[in-house]
Amino acid sequence: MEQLQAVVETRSGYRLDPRTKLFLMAVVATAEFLYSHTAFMVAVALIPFVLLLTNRQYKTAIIFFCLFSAGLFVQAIQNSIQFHMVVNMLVVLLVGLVLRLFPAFVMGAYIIKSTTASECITALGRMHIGRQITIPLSVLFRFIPTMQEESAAIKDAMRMREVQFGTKKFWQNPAALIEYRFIPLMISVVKIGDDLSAAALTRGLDNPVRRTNITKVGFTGWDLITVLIAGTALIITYFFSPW
Amino acid sequence: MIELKDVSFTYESGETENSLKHINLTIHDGETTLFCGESGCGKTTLTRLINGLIPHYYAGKLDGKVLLDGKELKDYPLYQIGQRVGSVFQNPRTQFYNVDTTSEIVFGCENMGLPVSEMSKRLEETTKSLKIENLLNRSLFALSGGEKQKIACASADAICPNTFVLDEPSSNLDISSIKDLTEVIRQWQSENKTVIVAEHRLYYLAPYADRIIYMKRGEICNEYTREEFLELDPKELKKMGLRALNPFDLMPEKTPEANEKSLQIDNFWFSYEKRGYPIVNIPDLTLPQGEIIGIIGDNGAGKSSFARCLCGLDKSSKGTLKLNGNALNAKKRRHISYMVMQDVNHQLFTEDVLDELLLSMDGENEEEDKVRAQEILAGLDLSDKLKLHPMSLSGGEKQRVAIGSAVASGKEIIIFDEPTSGLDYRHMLEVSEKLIQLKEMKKTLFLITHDPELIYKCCTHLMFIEHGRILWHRSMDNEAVRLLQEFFSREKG
Amino acid sequence: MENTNKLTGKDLINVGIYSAMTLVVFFVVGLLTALPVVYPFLFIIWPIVCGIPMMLYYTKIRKFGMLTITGIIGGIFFYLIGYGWIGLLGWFLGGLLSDIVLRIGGYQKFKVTVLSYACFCLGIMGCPANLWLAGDAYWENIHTSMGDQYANTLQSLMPSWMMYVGFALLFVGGILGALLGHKMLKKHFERAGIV
Repeated sequence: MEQLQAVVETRSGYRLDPRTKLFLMAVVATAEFLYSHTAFMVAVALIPFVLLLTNRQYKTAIIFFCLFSAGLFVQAIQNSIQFHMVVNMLVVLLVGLVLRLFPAFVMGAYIIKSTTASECITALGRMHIGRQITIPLSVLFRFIPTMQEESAAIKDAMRMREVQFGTKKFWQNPAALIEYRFIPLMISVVKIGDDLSAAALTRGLDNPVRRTNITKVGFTGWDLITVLIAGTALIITYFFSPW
Repeated sequence: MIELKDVSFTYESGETENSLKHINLTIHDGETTLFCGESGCGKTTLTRLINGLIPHYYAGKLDGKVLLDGKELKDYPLYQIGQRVGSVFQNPRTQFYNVDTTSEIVFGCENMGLPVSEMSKRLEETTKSLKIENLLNRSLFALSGGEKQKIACASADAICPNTFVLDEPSSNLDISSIKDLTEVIRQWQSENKTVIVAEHRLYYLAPYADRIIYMKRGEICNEYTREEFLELDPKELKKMGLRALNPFDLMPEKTPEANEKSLQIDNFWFSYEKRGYPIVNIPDLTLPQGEIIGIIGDNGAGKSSFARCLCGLDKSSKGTLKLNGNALNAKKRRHISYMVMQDVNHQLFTEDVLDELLLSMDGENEEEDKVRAQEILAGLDLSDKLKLHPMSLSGGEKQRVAIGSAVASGKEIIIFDEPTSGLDYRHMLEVSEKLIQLKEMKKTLFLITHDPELIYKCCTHLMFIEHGRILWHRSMDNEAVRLLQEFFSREKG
Repeated sequence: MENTNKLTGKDLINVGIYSAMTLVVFFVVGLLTALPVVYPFLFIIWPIVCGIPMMLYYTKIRKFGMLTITGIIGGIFFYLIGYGWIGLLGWFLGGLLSDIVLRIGGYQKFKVTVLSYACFCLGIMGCPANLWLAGDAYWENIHTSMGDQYANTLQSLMPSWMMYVGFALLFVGGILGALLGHKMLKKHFERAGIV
């Protein structure tokens, strides 16, 4: 499962404030409804593409580039070539998916790989979002990797006991497999949660004082430049399409 | 100064275990106090009274007064108590809140709303005094247990409390991490902090404690000065149910028997990446069958990876194991081997203990299986728990259910990963008895452990792993004991 | 400290834990059935499977607001991975509605819990809802930008009555999920002593 980073390894000089990222996400997600011209679509797709490059997510960027180009190509020819009904449906759906939803998904991939959990929490705090949201969200960030660890251990244990697909026991009661996988996971997560609550409370989680954060977030020139460039490109392509 | 005046406490569930009866105690500033006693004697409960978790987090019936510098703790919210009493808990995996180390260290300071400049100053001071420069800005999930525990200590330290309360902090640590923990506690002592520790392992702390308080069934049974305690006879300690003060220099209690049968390992190889650096690399190894083989080595030497290879858990692991004339690859090894994990919660699946064993049987004849399962459980002293949910059992009982399921499935090789972490003397003894019982059933046992007492109690063979290779292995003779002690003295520094 | 209606740190941690659990289960189920054919069935599978962690969650809820926060967090998550504003709104409304049901009906009551959870599940509709809710302008856009062929195919796949079917499936799934979760509660969690 996708999850914010604990530490971002590949940090270059270019960085955005998480609030800017959220804003750009909002722009990309809203643009989904506004698609008018191909040029505008390209401009929208370029936002996450360039951001991926700045965060050195080259592999994702290249895959996105290829898919998006292929999508544009198919869209350009689809009205001149008649496919078989079923193929057509699939092609149309896939192209639609790639062109319309992928920019937002890829933007999500960028945000997740470029933002640390504590940056996200700090930024939310700056946006005056209360502890009612920030505490559960931090706990969520902490528990997703924990659940992965626990789940891997349970999977090993199941294999060791040969509780798995295809065995005779399995065919007697296939649903039990899901039960064996999920129930111990939940039990151990609840137990970890109890310990964690105690430890967090002794360190003042319930303190009503306004929390401070050591993590540095803040707008820089990069945020301004990025928003200006992206904004200009979108407005120009939306209103004055060259094609 | 901490004062407990005629304090009694029973948890909400009403269990008598872990409850406290009429405790009267005064702990002066700057003192280091060590609480010891068998599991369930109430020492953890006592630490919870001092850090305020009782009554603010754990509910129950509380009588008497707990005073910190003359003020009653139950009148103050936890976050205020937390600024004066720092806490470190047993399990390094469960007590952290953030995902990166730096945020975790200053977590308490952030909650207090300290200005960033002050916070950075404290971060720097703590990092320096606990020597954890190398751990800053890392993902907590990538740290070892010992490193996580250091971060937990640092997080408590950054709040700058006057008192530190540690609840069995060494339970999940290896010997060299315990050494680091000792240094942290020494550092706090040098800063004249009050340190309160509840612990099973005594060897690392007793030489530095000002007072040692021995508890039994919720009462303070005896109090010793450091000198008095260190003078105690090892036999006396055993009688009190306490761990040895010098666990490293004992004598092996089991002698290896002449043993004809052997198992042969050929070309065990495992690495995380293809053609990467090998984590396990054992070209050729012959080990005796039907023995208890202790696996020792540094942290990260490849002990667990070796065990996973042996169980056939990693699909990419190469090599075969020859047993009774059959060459077994990884997949086949899964049929004959079983690992009792350190966190045994992961390997119990069903809704009652009997089902747990039946799950491991082939199910050809249900009635027969049931009879056999009950026999096995009787042998493990679990006859009265057949219908209970495995997760409702105590740690030791869960471990025995896991052993039971291994026996039920007819596994020949059983591997134990740290089976005695966090156990007191009596429970450690119980585990070693079960191990010996399995040996008598002609099972071959592998034992990954940092518990010297357990090694001396039951191992008949030792193997030493370093950088994924077997440096030496031999039956438990004088030379093996010498090598073992050499290893221990290097680990504890 | 017990009788206050304000959410304490402990409550908020619980919100985080159970939201994480539910979202992970939700996500894993979504992956297991990634085939497009299964997509309509997800509307009933999701609420059923998520019933297990959610029923465990309901045992910890005694105050207003926890479910709303879970809804918001689920919404933020789906917003972040690209489901847009309606994804966020849907989850939030589902959470709020389930909280209101609990507030009116009373906490820790089985029947109210079932109803509340079924309402919570309605919020899942936020994820695919932008296909319907965006209105005619949206379809016009699709027609011009994606071509008639695409728009017609999509429209034939997504008739507007499908939305009501979706809601109905989610609601029924929610009730079934609550019953399944309740069964697991009795079978495992209560006997394991963690409730």
